[in-house]
Amino acid sequence: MNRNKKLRISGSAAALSIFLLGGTLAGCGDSNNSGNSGSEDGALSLTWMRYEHPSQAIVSDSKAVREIEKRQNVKLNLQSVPQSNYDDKKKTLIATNTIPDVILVKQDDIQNYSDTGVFLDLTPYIDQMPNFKKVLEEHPEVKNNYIDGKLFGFPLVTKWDLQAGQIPMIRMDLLKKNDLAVPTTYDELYETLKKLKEANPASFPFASRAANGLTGTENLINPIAFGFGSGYTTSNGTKVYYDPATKRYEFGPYSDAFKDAISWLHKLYSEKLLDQDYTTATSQTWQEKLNSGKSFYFQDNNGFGNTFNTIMQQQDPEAKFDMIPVLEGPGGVKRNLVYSLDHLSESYVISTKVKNPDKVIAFIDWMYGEEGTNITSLGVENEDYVIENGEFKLTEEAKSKYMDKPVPYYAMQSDLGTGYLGLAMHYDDRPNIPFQAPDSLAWSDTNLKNVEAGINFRFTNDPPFNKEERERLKQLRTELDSFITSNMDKFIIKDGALESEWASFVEQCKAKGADELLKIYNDALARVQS
Amino acid sequence: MTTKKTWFDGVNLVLMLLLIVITLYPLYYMGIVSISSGGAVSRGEVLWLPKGINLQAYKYVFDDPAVLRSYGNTILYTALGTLISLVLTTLCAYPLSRNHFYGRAIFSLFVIFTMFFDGGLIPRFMVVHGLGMVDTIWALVIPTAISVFNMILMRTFFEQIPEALHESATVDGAGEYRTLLQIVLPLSMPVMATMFLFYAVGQWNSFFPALIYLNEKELYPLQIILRNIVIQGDMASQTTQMGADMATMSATIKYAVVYVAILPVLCIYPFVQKYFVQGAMLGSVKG
Repeated sequence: MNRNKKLRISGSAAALSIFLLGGTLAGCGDSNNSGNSGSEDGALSLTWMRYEHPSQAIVSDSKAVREIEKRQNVKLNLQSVPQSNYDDKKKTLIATNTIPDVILVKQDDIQNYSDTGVFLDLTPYIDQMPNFKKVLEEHPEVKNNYIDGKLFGFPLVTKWDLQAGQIPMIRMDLLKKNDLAVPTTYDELYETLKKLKEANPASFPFASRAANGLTGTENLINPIAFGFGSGYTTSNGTKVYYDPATKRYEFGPYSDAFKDAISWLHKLYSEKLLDQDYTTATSQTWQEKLNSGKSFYFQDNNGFGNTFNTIMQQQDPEAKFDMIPVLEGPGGVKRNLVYSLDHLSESYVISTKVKNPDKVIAFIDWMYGEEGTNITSLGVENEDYVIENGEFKLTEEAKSKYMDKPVPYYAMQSDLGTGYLGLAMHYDDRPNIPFQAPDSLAWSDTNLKNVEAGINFRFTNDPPFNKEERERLKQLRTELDSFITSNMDKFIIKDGALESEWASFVEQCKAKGADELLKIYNDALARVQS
Repeated sequence: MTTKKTWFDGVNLVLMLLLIVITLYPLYYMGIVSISSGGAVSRGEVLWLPKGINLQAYKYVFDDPAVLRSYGNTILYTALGTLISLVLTTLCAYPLSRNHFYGRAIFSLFVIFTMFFDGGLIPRFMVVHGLGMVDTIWALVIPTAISVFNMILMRTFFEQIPEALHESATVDGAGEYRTLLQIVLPLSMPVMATMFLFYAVGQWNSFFPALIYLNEKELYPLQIILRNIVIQGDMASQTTQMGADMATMSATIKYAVVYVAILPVLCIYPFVQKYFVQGAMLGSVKG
């Protein structure tokens, strides 16, 4: 009797769990994640995954999606993943070999997973893609994305965008108020900051911050060292930099100009002209200081200038950050670092499981061509925008529809499905112009002119490394990074350190493999150029 | 028991008050930032009192269709997930609590084994994918249905119910299900309430399964949207003009979303909390 009962319990529990599981399976038989590019009536259906930025929601039936279906007979099934955790999702899908037909990845992913065969090798198709081929010719830097001579991803390239960079920006109203001339050299800048400090003793005129994956120290030294004729890190924080003058990678601390830059920063720090918390300043604290009149100068993304002005002018209508001409370093060097316009480290890859690679390739080639670029960047001509005398203009309907939204530009881009955060692969950011303040546009123009004049130089992406080089770079960076960083802070903060310890610091960098680091970079660079 | 006040009590009181302030201040700070004007916040002027009070941020949050849709999803997932979890955990804990259950030791071992050893994300994803649950609500409520820790807590609680009650129920003709439903469960309200809270809060706050298993945006729960808004500002690459425009997407909106997301849980907590202490403790002391 007792035994019977036991059996009954376990028996019914088992039956129940089977029942539950059965219910589950029946409830969800139709989900499919990938390999969905079947063609009925000649239509191509693609699952397409990218990240979603909170400012610009991805709308599954946005105008671009509808137009693409109408013009190309391609049905895009958009899967958007929040950007904050896109990496987790993407890596899981790659590792389980269940990626959608087309997915946006980073160059790192391509390097790490291209040999597993999940991504379609595009090299054999390049001749079938006239538009993409043209883009390749216009953007020779894409060759940095090749891995052992093969291209796996379609990089996000830029046709037109505002040019921003780490540019000297100063409170012009305070210069006028204190009868100061606009500084033209770093020495004059020092004098100016000193006078501003005298006028406002509680302030720390020069503010910087940690941002874009670089530490506060790196983000401070980068523009200054470059302006002095040397340089510090690459955009990912490796302690070498590409020098446009020698056309190769260099290790900053080897040069005298670098030492001058650090000594200049030390002077600013010890006289309290530089933010005393520069090592720990975040983007937020940095903005607070500049917005609230505790700091008057920054050499960072000039795009912030206008947001600062808007906020400051709520209290003081005179307050205004403005761009000053590129400063001259000692020895007459005059140059500045600006951001790259392309997003070449981000590429769309195609799953090797797609059934019609030729069709997919043809479609993506269209996306790079004029019609595709316009549809995914600007919208539909005469509905959303007009071109008058070669000038881009929004239509009246578009203006009235979006101008009162909290963030009009992104509301519009979201509805249209356009732009860098939308569907564009070859993007043209002219729709941004009507939403930008006149100052921002003028600054961008100046920056672009300086790029053409050979004064502004864009950050470049790393050349492609092979597996051994990547391993070795990791080791070298572990050795060098914290050593150099802590020493930089010491040289900037501590009096006398620069004079007494610089020589031995450079020696130790050598001992820790600075030369090898440099060699790996230059070898890889040479391979690309040959 | 004498209640003489000593200097220790005084110090203790001060320390405890300090602790309360430390705990509550972030919550308070988020509240005042969310109703202050964006300009004042970005000048760092809001510290103790709100400045330029307005509800713009909340208006912005509720104007976003994604927030409302995901709010509905979260409520659905929490309700269904909690229900499934409670039912399955009870059905797992009850047999394992009966000491004449055949193979009790070996079944317990199987269950507890999973508490220490786990295949990890990739195998789990492949199982869920293989079962065809990707992009369905089931991917969120089935794989996490039973938490072993909660199951053990419940089992321990069930074990304390006197055997005599079971026997008398059997004598009165009740089968196992009837005993469970009419004798054991009514006596286990504290532990059920605790489990309810654990599971409900867990489901409410969970974002990772949704991130991994869902592709359709329409199915996203609130936490995914929240996380994207809150974390984004900090990690967005700001190497473009655009980056600068977006970096200032204000803290007010961030904190307004946080408030919107935690409000229901804040409301439920006080009511379930009294069971919570009782239930968690009762499960832990034997005899």
